[in-house]
Amino acid sequence: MLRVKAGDPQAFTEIFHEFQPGVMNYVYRLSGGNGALAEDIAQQVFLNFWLHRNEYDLEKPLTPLLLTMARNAWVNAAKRESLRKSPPPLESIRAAEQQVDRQLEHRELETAVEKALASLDEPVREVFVLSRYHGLKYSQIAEMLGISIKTVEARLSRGLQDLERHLKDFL
Amino acid sequence: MLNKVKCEEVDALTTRAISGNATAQDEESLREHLSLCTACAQRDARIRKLWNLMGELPPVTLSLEKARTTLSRVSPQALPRRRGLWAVGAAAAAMLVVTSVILLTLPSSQNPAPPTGAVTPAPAGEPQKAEVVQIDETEKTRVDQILTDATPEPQPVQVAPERREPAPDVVKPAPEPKPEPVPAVAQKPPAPADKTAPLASETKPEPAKAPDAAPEPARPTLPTVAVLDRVEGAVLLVASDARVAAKSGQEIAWEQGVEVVGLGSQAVVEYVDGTRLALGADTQVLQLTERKAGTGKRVHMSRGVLAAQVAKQPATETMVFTTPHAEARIMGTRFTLSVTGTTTRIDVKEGRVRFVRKDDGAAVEVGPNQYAVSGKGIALAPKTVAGPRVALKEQFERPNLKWGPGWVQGTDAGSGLRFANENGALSLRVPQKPASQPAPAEARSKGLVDVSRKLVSKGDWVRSIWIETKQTFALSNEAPLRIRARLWQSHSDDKRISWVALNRTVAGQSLLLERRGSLLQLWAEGNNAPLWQKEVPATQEWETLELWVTKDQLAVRRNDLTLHVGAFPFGGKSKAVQISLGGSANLELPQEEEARFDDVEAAWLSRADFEDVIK
Repeated sequence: MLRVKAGDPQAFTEIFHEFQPGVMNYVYRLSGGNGALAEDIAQQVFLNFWLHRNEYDLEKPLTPLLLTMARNAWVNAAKRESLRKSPPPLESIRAAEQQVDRQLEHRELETAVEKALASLDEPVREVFVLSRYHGLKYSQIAEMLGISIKTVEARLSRGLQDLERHLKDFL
Repeated sequence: MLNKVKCEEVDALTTRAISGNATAQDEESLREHLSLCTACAQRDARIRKLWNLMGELPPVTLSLEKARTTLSRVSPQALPRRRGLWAVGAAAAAMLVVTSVILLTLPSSQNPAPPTGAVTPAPAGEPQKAEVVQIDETEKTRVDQILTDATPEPQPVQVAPERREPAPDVVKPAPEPKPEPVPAVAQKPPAPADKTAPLASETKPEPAKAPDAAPEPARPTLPTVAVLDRVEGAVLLVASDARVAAKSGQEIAWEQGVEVVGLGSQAVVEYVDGTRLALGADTQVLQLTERKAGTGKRVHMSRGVLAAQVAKQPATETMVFTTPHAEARIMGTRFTLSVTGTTTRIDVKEGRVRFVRKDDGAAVEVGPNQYAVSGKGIALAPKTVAGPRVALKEQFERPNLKWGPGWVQGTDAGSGLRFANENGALSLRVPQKPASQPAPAEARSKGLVDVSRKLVSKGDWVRSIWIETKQTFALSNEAPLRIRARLWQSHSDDKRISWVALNRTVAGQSLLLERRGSLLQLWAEGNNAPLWQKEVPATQEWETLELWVTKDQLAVRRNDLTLHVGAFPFGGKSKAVQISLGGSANLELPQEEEARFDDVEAAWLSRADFEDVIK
């Protein structure tokens, strides 16, 4: 962390590589599958983090910080483009190398899961994603989203209920 | 006294439990209720299944271009070069500051250096060999083999001498001095059923033992947790105050550990419920279980390699493996854990494992055929274990020349050449003369450029037939593309060629691997002579030809032998290739001829595979 404060680019590279998948996945899930937006936001988040690094309390875990930044960026972007009304069609981002075999590696389950996740109401999906894929505790989620722990719990339960309906064929 | 939990509250409790938000009280209350209420127990299991299922998501990551631009805006030098950064990271081990780390007391003197700056490359799912983990891949395989060699039906453990004998595929390196209280182990040939033999000369403070009795080093009152099996080489039972040589059939009690010493040694630990752990060379497993009953087995592994086959555990009794760097929560799976001084790697064969990094509590789910590494500075993300990603596989088994929508077929009008679908192969029939005299101009179909024509100055190849993929296959240096086909010729005739080509219809980018009579040749557009050729007769016999291509290199192999390695001439231009195969012939041939193709395949392999091939 000292190196981060000092502005060591190597430190940035490490942080980037470590947290980038998490941020990407988060925005991707948040937006219901908008790959291009996820990329843009992820890039924005890391650059902003770097530019303002001295303003953050770097002793605390980075994940909630970066995800909060990502979330704010998403909210702004979505507001501007009214993306929140209906989730865009699911895309899948892969590295260029993998794009070509998308049709061949079609997995029924993956698609069903992706669809089920995208179908959740946004506030519910948000909480679910943070808990399931980023391992954040209720208190961390509550702090990040500015809601109560009870609300977090309720949304998570609701998320599981909705997902269960969608994926009952696989259960 | 526990609070009585009502059924309506179970959902919330289960949710807390699976999301890592349950207190000890919660867990107890839940467990108690579930043991009494079948309906809730089913509901609980269903929710857990759903939770696991939600892990079946393709991971998504920044495209390489985006990653590059982001990094370059911070520092022009900080580019995601993969190999380069690995090297830098390892060398920079001593320079970094970090978060708390659990240090090991290991004989292999790891200086407690802070995390390395190792970084992982961008594309998700890309196979990465173990640059960081120093555990031998072969050791992992061996240990897993120990597990598979004798995986009996789960049954109550008996202290029975007559277990199925292993057929160990143990490697026999020279014995190594160990910096430990245990003396060096002499290697033995695979031990037969006799259990006393391997131990006789190996450990020191040994009272004479009766063949089947378990020695008791001060644990007479503690219950048995598991039993040792298939012990070979030096294996010790470790208690708080003593280390004693152990053998197959010996019982292991609470809080005893097992230590396998020396290369070629091994042991299997089998629990009452059938869960089995195979321990490999220089492996230490302490604290085989926890004190309290009903809270799930806990195994702490401080170093070495362990393969596990975990029987289905009760929902509230997840089995937990801990290492100095990570924690893995298991619910009925098969996996391998490899622990070095600085990292822990888990490879999951079956089932799913929740793998938690101890440093910061970050967790991922690792699924079948995936692995993850926990270590300082290493991104914690499940990656798919390397294996060829097959993108195209054609065996010509469909009748009536139906290759499916992925292929385009073409031929020069009036050429007389035709395909037939016989005996599971693509047969190319070349009559002696064309059906009519094709004028070179009209022989070209619809604006597609047939490069093979351009390549040979004489322009004799007026008759061609081919099939070509519609799909393109991307080229990359990290995942070389291997195109493979089997070929057969009825005659050796230099007036006819059979070929496998890349981008044959893309101007300026075609590459052809041709068999012309007894010659194999590699032609690239824009050259008047082949890039490479070799005299390799092959008449009336099947040969397997392979063309390996990365962004800037290529290799030609025949029947599993590399014949040529060179630069891919269109490195800058070609980002992806279409694959075609077919044949071309002169105006007239001495006789009717036939060529056959079969088992056409295109797959991406790993960089390591390519490097093996071009050595």
